[in-house]
Amino acid sequence: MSRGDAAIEALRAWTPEVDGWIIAIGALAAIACAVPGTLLVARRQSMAADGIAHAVLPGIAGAFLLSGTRDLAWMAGGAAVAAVAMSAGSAYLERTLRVERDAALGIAYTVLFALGLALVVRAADGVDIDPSCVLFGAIEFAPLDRVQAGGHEVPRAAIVIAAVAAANVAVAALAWRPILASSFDRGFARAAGARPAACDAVVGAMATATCVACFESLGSVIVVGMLVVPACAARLACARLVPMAMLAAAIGCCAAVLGHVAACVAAPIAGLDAAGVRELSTAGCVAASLGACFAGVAWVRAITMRNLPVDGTRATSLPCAP
Amino acid sequence: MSTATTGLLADPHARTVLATTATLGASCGLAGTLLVLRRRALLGDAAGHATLPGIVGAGALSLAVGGSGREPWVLVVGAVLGAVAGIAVVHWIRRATRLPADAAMAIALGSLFGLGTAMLSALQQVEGGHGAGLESLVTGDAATLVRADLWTTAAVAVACIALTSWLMDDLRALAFDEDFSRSVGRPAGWLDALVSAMAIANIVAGMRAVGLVLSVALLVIPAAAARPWCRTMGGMMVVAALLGAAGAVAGTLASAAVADAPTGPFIVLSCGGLLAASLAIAPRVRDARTGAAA
Amino acid sequence: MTDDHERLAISIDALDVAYGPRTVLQGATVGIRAGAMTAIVGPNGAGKSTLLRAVMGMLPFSGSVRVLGGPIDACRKRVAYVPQRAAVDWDFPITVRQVAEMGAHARLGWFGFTGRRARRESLEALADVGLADLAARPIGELSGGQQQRAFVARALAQRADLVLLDEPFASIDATTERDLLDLLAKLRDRGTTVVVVHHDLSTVRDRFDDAVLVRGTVIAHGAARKVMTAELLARTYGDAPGHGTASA
Repeated sequence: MSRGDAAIEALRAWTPEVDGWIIAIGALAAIACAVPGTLLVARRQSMAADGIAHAVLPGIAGAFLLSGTRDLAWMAGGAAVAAVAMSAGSAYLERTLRVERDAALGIAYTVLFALGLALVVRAADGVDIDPSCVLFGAIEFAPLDRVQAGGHEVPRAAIVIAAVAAANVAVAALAWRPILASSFDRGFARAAGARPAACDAVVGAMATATCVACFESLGSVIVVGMLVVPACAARLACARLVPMAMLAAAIGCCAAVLGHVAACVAAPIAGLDAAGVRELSTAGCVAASLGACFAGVAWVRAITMRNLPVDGTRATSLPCAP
Repeated sequence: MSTATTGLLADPHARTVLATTATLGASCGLAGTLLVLRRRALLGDAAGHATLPGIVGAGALSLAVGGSGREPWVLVVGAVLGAVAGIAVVHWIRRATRLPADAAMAIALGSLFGLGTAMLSALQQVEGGHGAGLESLVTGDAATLVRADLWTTAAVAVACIALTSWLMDDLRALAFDEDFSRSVGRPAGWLDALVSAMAIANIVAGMRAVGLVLSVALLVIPAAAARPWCRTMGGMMVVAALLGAAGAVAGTLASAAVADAPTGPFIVLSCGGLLAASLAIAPRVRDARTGAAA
Repeated sequence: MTDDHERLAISIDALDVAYGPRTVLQGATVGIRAGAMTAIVGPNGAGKSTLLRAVMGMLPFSGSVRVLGGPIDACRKRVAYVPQRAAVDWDFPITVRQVAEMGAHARLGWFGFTGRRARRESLEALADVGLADLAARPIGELSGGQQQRAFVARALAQRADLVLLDEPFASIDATTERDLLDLLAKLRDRGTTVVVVHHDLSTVRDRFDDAVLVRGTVIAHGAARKVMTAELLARTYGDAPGHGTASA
């Protein structure tokens, strides 16, 4: 059997019950991440996405240790506390140490992430979170954890992530004007009564909720990728926020499909099945696919930019019209 | 804890482990000061995460040619290549797209670490591969340190000390006032490459002890903790080196007291504790500033 | 003309500079006299700083720029550059003496063991600008005017023949600006060529020898009193965004 046949064979073995849901969960995560991701990137806070995605870990682990359950309310509460601690801590460090914002953020989130890892080790006896799951996620097992919804057996992760995605879209639609104003010109927004700090908090809360929802199935590093990479890619192509968020969601969905396909066919195509390799980590492949999608968009844009006399400021200007 | 500690000090292997982490902490403090003052702190984070695909790739290559997939020098070469590639990707994104630096770093970090994860999951399924030894590199396991690691770490530390003392004036001028440094014809590109190279050397030297994902913390936190106490870059390097060594040793001891614990998180937490203590008792030197808002 | 050429510290001919597709300077031609104090004047975004950076070879350009009779790379050690205040990290852990020493290092070599000599010369330079008492203080603790003095001391320690300052008076009060101008005049009287990117029109006529009016190109240059006319200033500032016609 040739390598190509083996790859096709691997895809034929797909079942909607498992692989279908894996892709669906990945795509839902992409949609949920697109809203806060686009806003964070447009507000020049890409690294805050990184920070929040790392910082929610001690919140989740701590909530688990305290409550002994994996109840979502506890996890969300813990994560919210951790996210607030992260942004307050980094703001304090930036002010007192007068280091750049990125460095302050880096300190705050690595310390919190370290705390989270240490807590996970404490909690690891007899529960289903462990350090590698925290980093890499376990999307492969997400379809197995099902609940009843509308007469169907639906994976719990899909419901949770879909709910957060809907909430993100709703919040962004409701608070659209102040968020837009404060993304573009904080001074103006403050003068117009839009309260940029409150907008920061809203965007941060969206990102935190998304991280909590996606954490178990996608893992921390992949969540960072889903928040930032599609939004950055979309920003290269769009000058306005709404198309940017839509494109980011589309790119994220593409990466979810591409990633899971790659996870299944990479081993046979590379001839590694002979060595006993069956499937690659889907989360890892999705993150790598995000990178590939970004590179593709950047490449296409580089070609079109070369051929068109485009205003060079467009690429760096903030998308500010709805 | 205290019995565990006394037991540790009597054991020659434990002494090697402690000496290695102390040297590592000092070396990271020094290189991290440069990274922070040159405003490149998070480049270390991108580089640290980007080592994973390099390490796994090198391990796989070694397996393919009949090696064990765990030879230290192979992994070191892979890690260095991965980190260099990570920094190169950050630079490429910035040049090609004009996205802000933090976005470029988040993209490189997420994609390359994801790639490494996918590769690691493949390697772990290979018969005889197991990915063992590799997985502990992610969050660090100081118990795996051996004598050779001490010599490697010491060599990195000596090289960093020698290079920074030789090029101190150049590095200070570049970090303080890049335009001036360029205007008198100093090679800013090479000096920046040197700062990155020192950071990479420390990340790679420290991957067994602190792990990849947290390596940036041991670089950045001691430097930040030293900042309020120092008026000069040289002084900051010395204080950061001392704090880094103290944090690394304390973290190693703490992790030894917890069964099966990865070392990295505990080292980072001790460094975080030192930072908190430093900020709590630091003199408010900054209040003397007048009209210097930049 | 040949005679003139020998007395020019900087001669710029048909200089074009573009940032990507945006042209900042086009066909700029100007000669800056050696031993004079010259102000480069123009509205925001006119290309004043760009002109300076092109002289320093810090950005790509087309056209010809000769500094002290040759290409900039041949004489970098003799040219002191003071960047815009915003380009400097004022929170950097560095003492005033170390800032001045950077100038001495630029001249004496960076790698050599010039420590003692660099130290002595930097202290002399600091005494010259009246900062001897503050030599051990971190630069961030100084006032804005003192910080600019420290940078002038750096230029002194470099023993530069040509000093270029980019907006040195930004966010500095009038008294401090006057003191700093005195200091620069002292420098000029010792034979150093001083070039200042400047935005305060009121002092140009009285305190500078020459002026260069810039807006996308060199509008006019020559003796300050002759160049700073209502007509030429109107051409430089007229209809510029954020500026009315020149108040001078």
